[in-house]
Amino acid sequence: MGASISLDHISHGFSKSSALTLRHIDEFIEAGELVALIGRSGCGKSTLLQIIAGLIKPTQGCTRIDGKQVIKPSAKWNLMFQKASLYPWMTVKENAALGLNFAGLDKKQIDDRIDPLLSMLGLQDKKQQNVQRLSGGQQQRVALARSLATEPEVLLLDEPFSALDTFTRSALQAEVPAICKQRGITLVTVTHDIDEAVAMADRVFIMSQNRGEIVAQISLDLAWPRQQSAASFLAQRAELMQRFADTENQGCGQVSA
Amino acid sequence: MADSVTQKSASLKTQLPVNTGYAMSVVTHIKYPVIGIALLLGFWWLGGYLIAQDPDLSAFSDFAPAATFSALLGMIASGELWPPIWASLGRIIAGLFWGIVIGVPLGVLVGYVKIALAVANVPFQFLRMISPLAWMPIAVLAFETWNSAIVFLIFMATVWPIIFSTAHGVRRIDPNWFKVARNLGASAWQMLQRIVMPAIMTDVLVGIRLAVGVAWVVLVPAEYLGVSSGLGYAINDARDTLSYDTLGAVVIVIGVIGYLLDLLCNELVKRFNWHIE
Ligand SMILES: Nc1ncnc2c1ncn2[C@@H]1O[C@H](COP(=O)(O)OP(=O)(O)OP(=O)(O)O)[C@@H](O)[C@H]1O
Ligand SMILES: [Mg+2]
Repeated sequence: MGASISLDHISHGFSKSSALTLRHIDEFIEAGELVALIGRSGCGKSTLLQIIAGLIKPTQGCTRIDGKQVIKPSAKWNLMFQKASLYPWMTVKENAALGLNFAGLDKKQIDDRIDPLLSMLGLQDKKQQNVQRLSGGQQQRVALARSLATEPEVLLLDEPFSALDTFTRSALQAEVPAICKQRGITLVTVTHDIDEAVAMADRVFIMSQNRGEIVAQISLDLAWPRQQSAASFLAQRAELMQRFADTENQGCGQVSA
Repeated sequence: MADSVTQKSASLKTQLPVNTGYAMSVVTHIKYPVIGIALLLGFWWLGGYLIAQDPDLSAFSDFAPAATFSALLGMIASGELWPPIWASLGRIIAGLFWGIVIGVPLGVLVGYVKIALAVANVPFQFLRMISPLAWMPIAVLAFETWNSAIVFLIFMATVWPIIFSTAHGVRRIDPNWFKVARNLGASAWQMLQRIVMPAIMTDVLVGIRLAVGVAWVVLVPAEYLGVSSGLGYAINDARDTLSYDTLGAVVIVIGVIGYLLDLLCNELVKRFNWHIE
């Protein structure tokens, strides 16, 4: 079901004059692998995600999904944005079903897929509601439903849960990896939150602020589903924290050298 | 909690018609319009009275409310009221049709392509300020019939507000809406149909509402010329035959239809408006 992602020597600058936002990113993500991408604000995480999705063309290099170069967006891989960006003239259900609608599914096929999805995300009572009347967290869940509805092989999440309350967030931090594991979806989650990274990933990439590179990565040796209070979880979290701090210090060292 | 709130408002709604408070609120809602209409009639009556008192002007005394309304009733009874109304509405619809067919795509282009806006802005603003009636001599040369010349004038009146309003709507589109839709596999046609059109619908309809207002104002003088049907012609004809009561009746009809057209457009705007303040 899932698809591998290979990032081939990706560099990107938004304009010729400015410094590169991303530099020589060269990674391989296996089909069905869950990856988290962490780094400080402005280091280029969202940019990298949009490049993977084919929404931004990198200055150099390319993305391959299942070996095929990504040249334009496709419903096979889906990026869920930081901002929910729902369509205000559609109901919750219409928003969630939009991708299926584009694909030409009929009403019954849409109901069969969307209804369980909305129930799973706690939106079953809101189906016919206007999305402008939802809370930030509810809107984010509609966006997640919209992304999952097309059953993509690759799911790219850009700080998906930042607007959610703690309870919903930790529920989804368990739910989303479970769905991905069950369906074999390859997942890349961008996050600021170390706990989220440890809860949702097999492997964590650390991006550096100054150089726009992936400077370190760490494989998490934890069983699924993750227990956020388990000692092993906390140990991995501490290790990741340490690695992150180390890369920051290295960065500073280089700048001052 | 959210459920209890929606239930509450639903039950409020169902209670309203039997509530005396509802009747009261209707009274307060129509109180001021009724006063306004009464004032208008009062001034009209006063004007008619003063004209009737003046021997020099007494030929115009049929312009007073009583004579006008009896002429109006007569026209309704005899059925002679309807043909000019249909003729005028037909021209409005034809002109508006071309205004929409040409104005909306141009508005999308101008709103979407920055260069198109830069190029078109000055010429459009310039053309917009020319009274559509000024095109009359050209329209008469360019079109075979007076009728199509008038439709052209209506088109010239309607196209500008539609272009500018559509362009405004396009510029307000959240760029992420395109990204998300592309990401969900939208084809160009689906993007237009499911994203762009609903997104700009409110603004297009606001433009159409403005256009209808201008078109209705321009139509009457345009119908003074050449054609032998329509409300403008009816006014001219009434003047020539010195039947000022008929003239007054047609003026009333023009006002009422203009008002209703605006009301209709406003309902459409409300119906398709997805902005929640
Ligand atoms: N469209 C754009 N044009 C020019 N520069 C941009 C554009 N988008 C992003 N940038 C710049 O590229 C850099 C990386 O931005 P990006 O949004 O990828 O960061 P991020 O890691 O996602 O940050 P955050 O965690 O705050 O979301 C920033 O310095 C930003 O100013
Ligand atoms: Mg970002």
